Amino acid sequence: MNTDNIYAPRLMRVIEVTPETPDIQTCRLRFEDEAVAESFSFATGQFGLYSCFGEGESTFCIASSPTREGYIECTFREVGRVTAGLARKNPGDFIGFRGPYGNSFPVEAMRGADVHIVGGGIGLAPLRSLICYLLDNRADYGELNIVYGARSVDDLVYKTELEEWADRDDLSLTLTVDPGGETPDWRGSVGFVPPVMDELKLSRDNGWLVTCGPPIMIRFVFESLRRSGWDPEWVVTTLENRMKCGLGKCGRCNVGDSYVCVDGPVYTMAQLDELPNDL
Amino acid sequence: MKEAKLESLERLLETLLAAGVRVVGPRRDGGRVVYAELDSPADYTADYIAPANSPKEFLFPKSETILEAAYDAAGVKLEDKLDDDYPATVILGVRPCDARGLASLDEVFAGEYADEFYLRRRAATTIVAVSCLRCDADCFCTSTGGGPDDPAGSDLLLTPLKGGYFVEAVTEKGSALLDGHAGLFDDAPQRALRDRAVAGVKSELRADLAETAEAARRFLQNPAAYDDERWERLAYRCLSCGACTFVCPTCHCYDIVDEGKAGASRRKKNWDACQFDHFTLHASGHNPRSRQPLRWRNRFACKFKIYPERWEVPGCVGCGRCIRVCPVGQDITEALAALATAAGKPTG
Repeated sequence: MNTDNIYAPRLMRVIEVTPETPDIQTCRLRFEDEAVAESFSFATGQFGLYSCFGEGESTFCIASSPTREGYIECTFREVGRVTAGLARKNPGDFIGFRGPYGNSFPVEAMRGADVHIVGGGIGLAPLRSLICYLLDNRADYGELNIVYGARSVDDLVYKTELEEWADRDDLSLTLTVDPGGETPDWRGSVGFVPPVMDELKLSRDNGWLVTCGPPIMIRFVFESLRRSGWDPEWVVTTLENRMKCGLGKCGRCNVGDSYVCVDGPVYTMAQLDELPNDL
Repeated sequence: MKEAKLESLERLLETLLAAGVRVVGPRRDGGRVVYAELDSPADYTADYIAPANSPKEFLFPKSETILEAAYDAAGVKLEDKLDDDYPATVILGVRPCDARGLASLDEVFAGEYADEFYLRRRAATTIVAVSCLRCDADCFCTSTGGGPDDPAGSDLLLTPLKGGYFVEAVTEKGSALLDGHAGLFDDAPQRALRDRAVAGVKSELRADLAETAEAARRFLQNPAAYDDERWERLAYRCLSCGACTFVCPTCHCYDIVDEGKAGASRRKKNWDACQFDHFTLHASGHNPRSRQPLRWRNRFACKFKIYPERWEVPGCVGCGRCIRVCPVGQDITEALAALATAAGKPTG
C-alpha cells in the first residue's frame, strides 16, 4: 500500500467478538502485518476509522486501553450499512483501520487527582479505555468514582467488566437505569444519570470529571457541574460527531471552527464554553 | 517576476495541445460557458464573466476512486488508487477570483494530513488566469480582498489589452511556462496599459460591501453570535439544495463511500455539502445541525471565520456564483451586510 494515501486503511483481523447488548457489540482486532502491529501506538481517548470493505467506513473511539497491548477494541451499535457489515464479521475475518486520530484524555495532568467518570449508554466506550488505563496505573491516581447508566438493564455495555469493577475495593461504581428500564432483580439505582450523579455529591476538590454519553445527558451533567461551581478546566468530555475523513478536511464534525477530528475529540467544559452552541 | 506580452492566445493553446498537455479553459456549453477540457483552440471562448462552474473539479474531482478492495473468505486485497503521476494540465482563462479560491483549497488539502490526490494534481497543474474587464451585478471580489487583476493563486496572469495580453509570471511555474514557450511572447508593454485595462471594471464592482467580510468575522468571534435571531431570517428561504456549495470555488466538503459488492469494491471520495440534513446526522439520530438555518449559518461561518482563522486564507472570493445559481434568490452579500451592521461596522 502506498503510505502517501492518507485514506488507506491497514488490515486488521477480528480476534474476538463480544455481544454487549442486543444491538451493540465489541470487536477485538489485531493488525495483520506484524511490523504494523509492533509500531502501532495510541493514547486513551483517540479514535479511528473502521472499514467494512464494500460497505464503507465508520468512526469509533478505541475502546481498549493502550496499557493492554497487542490489540485494539471497538464497540459499536448496529444502525446503518457499515455497522451492519461490521456486525457480520466473525473471528478470523478482516476489517480495515486507519488512525489513531485526534487528541486524548489528559492522563498526565490528572496524575495525583481524583477522577470521576460519568457515562451513559454506549458513551462508556471511550471512558472504558480511560478507566482501564487508570486501573493499570492505579497508584498514580486518587479516588476513582464511576457513575454509569443506560436506558435499561439490557442496554448496559461491558457487563463483565462492570461486575469486575463492582468487586474492586479501589473504585466506587454506581450503576443506574432510566425509570422503567429496571428488571425485578436489578440492584442498582433507577433514574437518569445526571440526578444520580448529583446524589453522590462528588467532591470537586482536586477532582477531574470525565463524561461521555448522549448529548442531552452531557448537557445536564454540565449544567449540574456549573451549578455546583466545578472548575470547567477540570471537566472533560469527548465528542463523537459524525466524521468521514478524520483528518480535518471533509467538513462534517466541526463545532463552530473547532474540528472535532483534529482539535478534539476530547474537550474541557471550558473549551466548549468558548465554542458556539452547535453540538 | 517576469513580464511579457502575448500576441496570440490561440497560438499558446495550439502549442500546449500539440505538446499533449491537458488544457482546461472556458468553453461554450449550450447557452453558458463552463470550465471544460479543450480539444482545439477554437473551443476557447473569451466571452464570459465567470464560468458556471468553478475550476476546483479539475483538482478535486466530483468523484474519485481512492482505494479498491477485493475480498473473499481467504482475505482482503487492497489496491491503492493514488497515482504517482497525474497528467500535466494547464487551466487557462481562470478568473482571478477562482485562482484565489484554488489557493484557499490548497491550504485545506495540505497540512499535517496531506491529501496527495489533490496535491499531486495541483503540482501537475499550471494556473493561467485572465484578468476581468467586465463584471456583473453578482460579482464582489474586491469586497473579499481580491480584485479583477489579483494575481493570488495564479502561476501566470494575463490581462487583455487591445491586441494581445499583458503577461506576468506570478510563480516559478509561471516563469517556466513563459521560458518554455519564449517564441510566443514578446517584450512586455508598459505596465500602465495593464492597469488602465482593468480600471473600468474596478470602478463598476460593488463598493458597498467593503470591510464587511472582516466585520462578519469579528461578529462570529462571539459564540453567542451563533444564536443570533438574524440567522433564522437570513436563511428562511434556503431549500437545502446545496447548489451554492457545488459551484463554490472554496467549498470542499466530501463524503467517503464504498461502491460495489460481491467480492470487490471501490472506495470513493465524492463531493458532499454541509447543507444536506443527513450530513452531520449521528448514528443515534441526534443531529447537531438539524435545521436549515443552522446549516446555512455553518456555511457562512466556514467562509468568513473558519477559513480565515483556521487556514489563514479567504473562504469567500466574491465570485458571485452562489447568488447566480440559488433557486430562491438567497444572497450571501445580504447576510454579509446585515451581520457587518450587527458587528458595528463603521458606516460610510
